[in-house]
Amino acid sequence: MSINRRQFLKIVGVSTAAGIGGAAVFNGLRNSGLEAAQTSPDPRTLTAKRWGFVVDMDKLKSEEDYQKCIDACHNIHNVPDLSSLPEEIRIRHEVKWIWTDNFERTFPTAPEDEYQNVELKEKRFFLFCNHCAQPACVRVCPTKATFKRKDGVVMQDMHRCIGCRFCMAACPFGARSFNWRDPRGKDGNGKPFIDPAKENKEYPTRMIGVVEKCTACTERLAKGMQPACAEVSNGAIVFGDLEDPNSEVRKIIAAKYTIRRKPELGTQPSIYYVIGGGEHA
Amino acid sequence: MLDKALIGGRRYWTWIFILLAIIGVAVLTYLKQFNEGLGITGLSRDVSWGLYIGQFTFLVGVAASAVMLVIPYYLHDFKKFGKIVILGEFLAIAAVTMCILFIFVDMGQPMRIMNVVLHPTPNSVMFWDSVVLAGYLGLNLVIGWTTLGADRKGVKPPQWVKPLIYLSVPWAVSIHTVTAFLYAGIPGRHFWLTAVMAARFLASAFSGGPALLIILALLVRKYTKFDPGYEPIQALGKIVTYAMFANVFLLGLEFFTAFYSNIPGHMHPFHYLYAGIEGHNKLVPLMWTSSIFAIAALVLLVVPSLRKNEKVLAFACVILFISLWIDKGFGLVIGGFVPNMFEGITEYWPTLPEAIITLGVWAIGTLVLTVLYKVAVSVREAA
Amino acid sequence: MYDSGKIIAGLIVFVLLVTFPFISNMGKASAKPKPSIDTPVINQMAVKKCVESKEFMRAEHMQMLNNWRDSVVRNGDRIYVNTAGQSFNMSLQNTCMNCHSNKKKFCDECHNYMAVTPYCWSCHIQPKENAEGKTVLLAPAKIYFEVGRFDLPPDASSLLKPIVDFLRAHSQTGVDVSGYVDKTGDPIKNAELAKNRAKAVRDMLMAEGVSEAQINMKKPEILTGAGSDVEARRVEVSIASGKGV
Repeated sequence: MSINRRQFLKIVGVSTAAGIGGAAVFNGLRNSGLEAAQTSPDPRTLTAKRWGFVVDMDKLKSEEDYQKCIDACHNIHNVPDLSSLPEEIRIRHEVKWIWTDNFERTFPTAPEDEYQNVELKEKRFFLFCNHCAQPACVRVCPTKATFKRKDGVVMQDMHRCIGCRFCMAACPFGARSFNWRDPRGKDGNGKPFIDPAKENKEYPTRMIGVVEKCTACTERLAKGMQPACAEVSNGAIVFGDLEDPNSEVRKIIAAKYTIRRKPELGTQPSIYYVIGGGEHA
Repeated sequence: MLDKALIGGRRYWTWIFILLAIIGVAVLTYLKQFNEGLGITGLSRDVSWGLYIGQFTFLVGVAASAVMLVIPYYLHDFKKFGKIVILGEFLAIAAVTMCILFIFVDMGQPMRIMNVVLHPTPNSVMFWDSVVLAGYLGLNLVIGWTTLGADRKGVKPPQWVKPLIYLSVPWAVSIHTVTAFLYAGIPGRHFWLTAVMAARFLASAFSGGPALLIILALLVRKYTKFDPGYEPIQALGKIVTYAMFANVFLLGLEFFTAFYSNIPGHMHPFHYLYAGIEGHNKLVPLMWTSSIFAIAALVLLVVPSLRKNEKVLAFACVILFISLWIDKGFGLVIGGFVPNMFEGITEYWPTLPEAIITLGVWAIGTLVLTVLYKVAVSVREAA
Repeated sequence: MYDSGKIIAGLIVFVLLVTFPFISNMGKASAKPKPSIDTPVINQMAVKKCVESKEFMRAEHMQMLNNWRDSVVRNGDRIYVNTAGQSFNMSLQNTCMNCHSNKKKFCDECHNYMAVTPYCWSCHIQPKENAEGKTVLLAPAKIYFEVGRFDLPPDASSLLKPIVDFLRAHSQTGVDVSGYVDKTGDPIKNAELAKNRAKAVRDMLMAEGVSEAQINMKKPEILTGAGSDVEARRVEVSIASGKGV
């Protein structure tokens, strides 16, 4: 049988593609999952229909009140501390799960109001992932690396994240950070970003090129514990089930005036801020 | 037919080697980015997309522009485009290749790219973007190769190509619409949250792409024995003119909505881009250059006696292309991120490694284009 | 054949390139991997069993870890019931590496042989091991001394407490005690000083209830430690796996 070069190359190409493709499909279909009966949640796990937070601004007064919550979160999750880098690099590369900012930056849809109460204007607010009920980030993630759990927590699967940063573009609250450099790296003086003395050996770090954010301490919820920031906050951050009318968060929201960040966007954030304002609130 | 790309004069091979050298340097720079992270670019927590995604957005438009040749020729029998449709289809292939490469170099974990295929997510616009881009690349490869092959043999293309050609028309519109949806569906970024985003994208695509095609056609005429002809280039010039009018008009609409409504969130990105905010004004010279070039190009294109002069037309196309490249490849993306979600300003400017990698991807696209055009021109010259 | 010179030359280059890995390794047989289960926690176990059988783990641990990952991260399920009905917490760092704390001599043995580099360790924290591949379960304690002296500083007891507690709870685990000196002074007198410093620490450990069999007086290769002189005048106490050796 005579065959010319073109036909030969075409046959080789098609066979290779079919072979690789077929093998891939075969492997993919092979049953490799665990039996349903083999895995179960930890019996201590806290459950809820929709986890949410109340941040009570009345209870946050000193610098220390804020810092201990931030430290608790960042330490147990091995969040790299890039503050020793030059300022203009730190601003670009910093990774933060929870931080503070003033009123104007926390609630920016209300433009600057020159007549506003000065104390409120300068007050520091806590910012972290709102674990929205209709999260924009989950809608846009092409691999479901960020997804909403049944209990309302917007979780991050660092294993699946491809680092496309679409979620960072979509989040209206700027809650997400990207690992622009190796979080296990060192600054110019050789100081590691993750302090080996404070490293939490029971929790992983992340690697270069993935997005991370507050995960509502799901690893602590699984052991029946409150999120770290709530636990050390001395009542300033309250964590509870928004759909349970008897939960503490619901009681506070019913009793006091609360606001949420950018509610008009419809993402339904789950952090309620008790603004305070003295006896008129 | 690919063997035709291996036969060339000294000028051809010098050009190929220059491109390969640029690609080599860019690949080494990309390895540095792969090892050290995207932190070597100018991107930041606030401006998380920059030059790479901007270039991708711009090039999707260039890729879609092939449809401006396909519609008149295949749907309306505009015979004048007969000889240059292949140039448009091959430009689309090169442009889509560059799009895919720009996405690849922008990813934090490129080795996990298969996750998009293994875990398809229909609610994610980015998933659909990868589907339509891959499909468009495949379509153009098949259509272009088959029609050129038929041409070489001196016969009409086989019948089964016709449905694919008809499919490529809405598909081209879809690749750009879907890319526009990446931006237009994001809550919270007022610069992008506009219904005219897809329309603007299409208008700038249908002006920028054919403008590039005119430049390429003139280059082909200068350096090869294949002459696309005076009439087809003039027809393209008219398409560029009308599309550019639509594009500038739509941009004007954006300005109106932002400033007449007086809503701060809508106005701030325009303030930043065209006037600077609180001393942050890195992009202002660029954006004004873009606007001035756009108006100048329009003036040159609208006057028939100027447009009919091919030298003026070429110049107008060059400044038009640059204007759109700035507006869409840079201004559009940065405007969505500055001011940030807290109404603060973190500026962005590409770093040297970022620029080198970008140049490398353009070089790869140009290499693909050179090789494909060499094949097309060789077939035409022999005909 | 046209261009036969170029084609044959090209073919030879191609064959050389493709077979290069085999040619360069000719004659060097890699030793069969011998993963070691000599770790403090495993040594404590009466019946040494893993989550599943050895044969299953050998063949399936990769897939099982992937399934664990998806189960924990995506489904929120953390308890795994093995084929024998025992429950485990699904965690690489906290379950697997708790027993197999000698990654270099266990995981890496087979992975290096097969030339695979699982990227788990880019994120998941590896257990600490010292240069000999022995697991260091606690950070080494460093006791600092004044110039020319070997009496223990007042904070020595509190510095050693975590190690003492661990040693008393794990009677099969040993500890290396090494004394150092700074660069000044007579080397012969300094050697004696280093030994006395180490002995002082050993005596304190024994006074706190650590048995002598667990203490290994390990003379360092270079007595004058790295760093400043203040840094150098110290005794290092570090836990090593194995039966007190």
